Amino acid sequence: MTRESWEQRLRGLEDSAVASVSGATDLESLEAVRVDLLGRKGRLTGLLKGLKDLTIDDRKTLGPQANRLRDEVARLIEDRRTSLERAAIDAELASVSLDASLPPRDLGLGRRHPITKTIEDMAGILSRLGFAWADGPRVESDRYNFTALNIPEDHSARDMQDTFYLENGQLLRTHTSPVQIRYLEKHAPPVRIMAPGRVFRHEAEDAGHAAVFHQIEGLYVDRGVTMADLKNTLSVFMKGLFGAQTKIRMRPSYFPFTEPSAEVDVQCLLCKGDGCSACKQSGWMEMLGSGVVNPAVLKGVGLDTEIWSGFAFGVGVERIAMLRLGIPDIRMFYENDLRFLRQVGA
Amino acid sequence: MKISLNWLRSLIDLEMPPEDLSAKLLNLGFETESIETIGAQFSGVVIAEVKKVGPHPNADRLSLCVVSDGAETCEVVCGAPNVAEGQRIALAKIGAKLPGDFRIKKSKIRGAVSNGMICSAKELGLSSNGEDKGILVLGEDAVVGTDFSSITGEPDVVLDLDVTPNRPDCLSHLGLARELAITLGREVRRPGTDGISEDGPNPWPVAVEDAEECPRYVGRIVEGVRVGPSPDWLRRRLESIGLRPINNVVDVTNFVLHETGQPMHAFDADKLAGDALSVRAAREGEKIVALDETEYALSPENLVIADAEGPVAVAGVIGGLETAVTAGTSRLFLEFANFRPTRVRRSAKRLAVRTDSSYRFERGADLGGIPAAAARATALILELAGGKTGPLSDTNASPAAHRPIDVSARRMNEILGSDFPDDRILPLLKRIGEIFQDASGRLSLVPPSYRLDLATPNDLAEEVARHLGYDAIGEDPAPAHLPVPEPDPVRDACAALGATLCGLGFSEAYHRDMVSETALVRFLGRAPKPGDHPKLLNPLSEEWAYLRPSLLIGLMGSAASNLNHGAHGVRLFELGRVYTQTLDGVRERLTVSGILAGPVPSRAHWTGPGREPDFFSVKGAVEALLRDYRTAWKTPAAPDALFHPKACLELNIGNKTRGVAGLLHPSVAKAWDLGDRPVGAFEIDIEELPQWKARRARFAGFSPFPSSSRDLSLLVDAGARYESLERAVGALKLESLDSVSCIDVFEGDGLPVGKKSVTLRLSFSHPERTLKDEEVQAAVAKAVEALAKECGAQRRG
Repeated sequence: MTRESWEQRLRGLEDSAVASVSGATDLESLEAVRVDLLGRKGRLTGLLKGLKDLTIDDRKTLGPQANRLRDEVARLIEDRRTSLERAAIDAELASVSLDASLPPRDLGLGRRHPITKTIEDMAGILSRLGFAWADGPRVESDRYNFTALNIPEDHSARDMQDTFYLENGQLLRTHTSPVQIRYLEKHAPPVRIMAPGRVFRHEAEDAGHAAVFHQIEGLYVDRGVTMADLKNTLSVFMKGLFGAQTKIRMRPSYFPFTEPSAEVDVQCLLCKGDGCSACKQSGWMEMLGSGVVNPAVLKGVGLDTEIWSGFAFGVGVERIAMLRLGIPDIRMFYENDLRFLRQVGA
Repeated sequence: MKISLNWLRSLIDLEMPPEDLSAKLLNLGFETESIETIGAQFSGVVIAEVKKVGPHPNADRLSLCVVSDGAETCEVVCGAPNVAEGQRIALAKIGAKLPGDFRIKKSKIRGAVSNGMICSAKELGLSSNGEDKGILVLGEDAVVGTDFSSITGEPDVVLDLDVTPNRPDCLSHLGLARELAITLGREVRRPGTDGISEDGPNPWPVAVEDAEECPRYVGRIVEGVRVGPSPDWLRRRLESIGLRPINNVVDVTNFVLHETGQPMHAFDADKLAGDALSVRAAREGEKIVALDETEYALSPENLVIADAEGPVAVAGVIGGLETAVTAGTSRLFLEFANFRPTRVRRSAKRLAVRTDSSYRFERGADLGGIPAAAARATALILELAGGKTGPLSDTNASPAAHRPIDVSARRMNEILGSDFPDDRILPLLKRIGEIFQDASGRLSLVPPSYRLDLATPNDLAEEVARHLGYDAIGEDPAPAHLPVPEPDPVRDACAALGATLCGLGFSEAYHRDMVSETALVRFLGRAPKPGDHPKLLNPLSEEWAYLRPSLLIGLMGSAASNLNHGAHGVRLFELGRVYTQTLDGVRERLTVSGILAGPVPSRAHWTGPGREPDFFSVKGAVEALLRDYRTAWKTPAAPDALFHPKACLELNIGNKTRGVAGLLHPSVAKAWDLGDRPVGAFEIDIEELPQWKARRARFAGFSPFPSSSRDLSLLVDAGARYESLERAVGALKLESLDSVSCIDVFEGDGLPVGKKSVTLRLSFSHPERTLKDEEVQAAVAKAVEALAKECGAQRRG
């Protein structure tokens, strides 16, 4: 074979190979094209074999051209095979009947209780404000629940908190405030804690009152803590909980363990202060009790009140959960109806 | 506490509308429960006399009365039991208009014609008292024929206020007027005390056994009184705050109590034995029939006023019926006293009586205000009932001196974080108490005798904030010194457990910590042993008698109620405390428990039915839950009555049994109304869980070379336990063995009687190369030999 005729055949194959590969419409005809070009007796194979009849110089220049063509054709055939195979699977899948709009398998995730979620939200805000989590027992002594908090025996302030007593003389804590005493007995100030937890009041239950409920206690004892600090912390806390526009107001109240004491109202979350049935037309919602820690309480745990002062607050959890979730009856939190938990659980 | 606005206005100038007053009081710390308008919101009502009361022809409870207003006489039907001939009453005539747009028409009541209505105080809108105790009976001085609205006076507004326990000084009209006077910068008009000439009989001696229990006892005799109905103005005052007028003497004592806050009592002196009284502890066995017509057995806890024969009043709580002032009384012994708050509280609590007196004494009455209150009451009694009085007896040995409180504007601002100027703080404090200045210029304040709540600079700071406004305190925080955050492993563990359980399909339940005795007995399978379980002394109901020993009591109940409400599958957990009684008190343990009943997924689904839980669902849930902790399962030494005897394991965490998991015993499931289905349950004490956390995870590498596995089907005794097979293989410590798992358990057809087939899958690998077949074979052979020797297992096929 002369160089000229060899080159002519190469050009001819260059022109026809692409067309014949893309012209194969199924895997069988593609295989025929492959055999025709690249098979043992294939045309391109034959051409490569013909190189040996040429001069060394010609082989050096033409050989790479032929190899390139062979690689190119092999790649084209492989690509074509992939796309023909995919088309064959697609044709098969097209006949499958599947309604993707059917409901999925129920993997059965459970829900956290709405009170857990509310406590986590509230504690999360306080935690970012530097309050550490503290805890105490539910079954308390009279000392921690009352006397150490400046509520002496036979004092009328005890009427504010009707108490469940145990036969052994202990009691179920009526507020989370005993944690203040327990913590201050073990930790030197500065102290900045929150104590979420369960509390008990000896009260007949109705839609708005529970005998078992939850509070979050906050306590900060440091040098020079003032009422203004308290106001600032509570304002930020309430904004974190209800949104940056939230307004609070403080008004005088009485708690034996704080002096001055303040009831804290939040501008009605529903009517924004215009007055509605939820806020009894007042424009405000009662949210928590607070105050400057009564020096008598700090003295009781051995702190020098010339150096240390503090603030404390206690907020009910259920009421906030009810407001946020639209729950009409506080007793529902203890019924554990899965329909309820599915709607308001987290 | 009810406050009449007209009454309050008699003591201080208050032109503001009730709503503004209520807002002002709120800013001072007094919440208004309700505002009610009372007074003459009626027309066509005249004063009439009941001439005759006869039976109604057709109704036993009604009477047919003949009434006359002087101009005309007519018949009216009346349903009140207290109607009587000769009474002056308020008659709503035909055409009268009563509050609530109620018009009186001529009508037939059970067949008898009624030409009007005899009104009660409530029907006329004159009483804020919810209860209607019959018709309004007017005093004998009421002039028949008078338009009644001219007598009831202008309408009044009654505020129901919440007074916090620290402010007993505000439990009266005068007290509230004093409080408002400070804030408004006005003066209080002291009620009049004219007309007392003390030329009557001398007072009786009163022996006070313990001056601490009775710091002051003031008494006096009034003789020659004429007991009768009170004048209308006095009756109206009492009725406006919901009190029932009784007679002029008793009404005065009630009136002055609500005006000044000083409780007082009038005895019929002629019914007292001897002419001396004593204040002493009651003796065991003494009794008294009190004004509420109830007989009380007294104990030394009760302080009493006693005559020569025994107790005539429970000090500060309630008077005796026998010595009470009645229509025939002519000589009075008046008591104006003060008793120790805690004593009155205990005494009243023991008798389960609460009166206006005990309520005030418990909180603390004003020692210094007694003479003024005594003068006010005496003057009114002399004016309304006549008679003569003599001097007061007074046991007051040493008037309680208030300690001066250090005060400065700077200190006030330090507590409040405010910047009120001196010229706002000091004038305010001067209105609250007396200010003294010592030689060095330091100021101190001595509070008035009625301000029992003022003792420290913080108390005065609250006064400043209340009167100058809580709103005026800024929000500027002082620099904080934050403590270093400490790790909180319990909190973290609880959060992680809750998250895992939710992922496993459990929803979180909250149950109250109290359970009923019925539930406790059902849970224990027997009556509780006395002293084992913390018991409430004063449960609200039978439902809440004990503190729960287990969270499963609540969970079983909730699972059953969900199933009864139509849920198909229930998975619930609770993280909470359980309680046991120990010698040192109640022991609380943080616990996590769960219950599984019915299929998962719970609802019928097009992909097919869910799976019912079995023992291995519970076991798997617990293993997943505690995956990060050092735990081991253990066969219980004795069966737990709550659980299926076979389908139950105990769980060791660290070195102690701290949990149990299993299927409920079928009879337990039935007793808890859970039906015939398998119900899984677990309960784990997690009080010390964080300390049993598995050592911190470290990466140990894994072989990049392929692993090979061999399945061994073994024939073993039907009673053999899987764990013994696993242990036999494990004891070999085969170098290349990665894991042993159980891939099949089979009993029945084709196997010899008393045998079962267990198929183990052993997986092997080597860290540095692909294992050769011969190496694997050799390891398997060793395992087979050990299984045969240790467990009598034969390899099948």
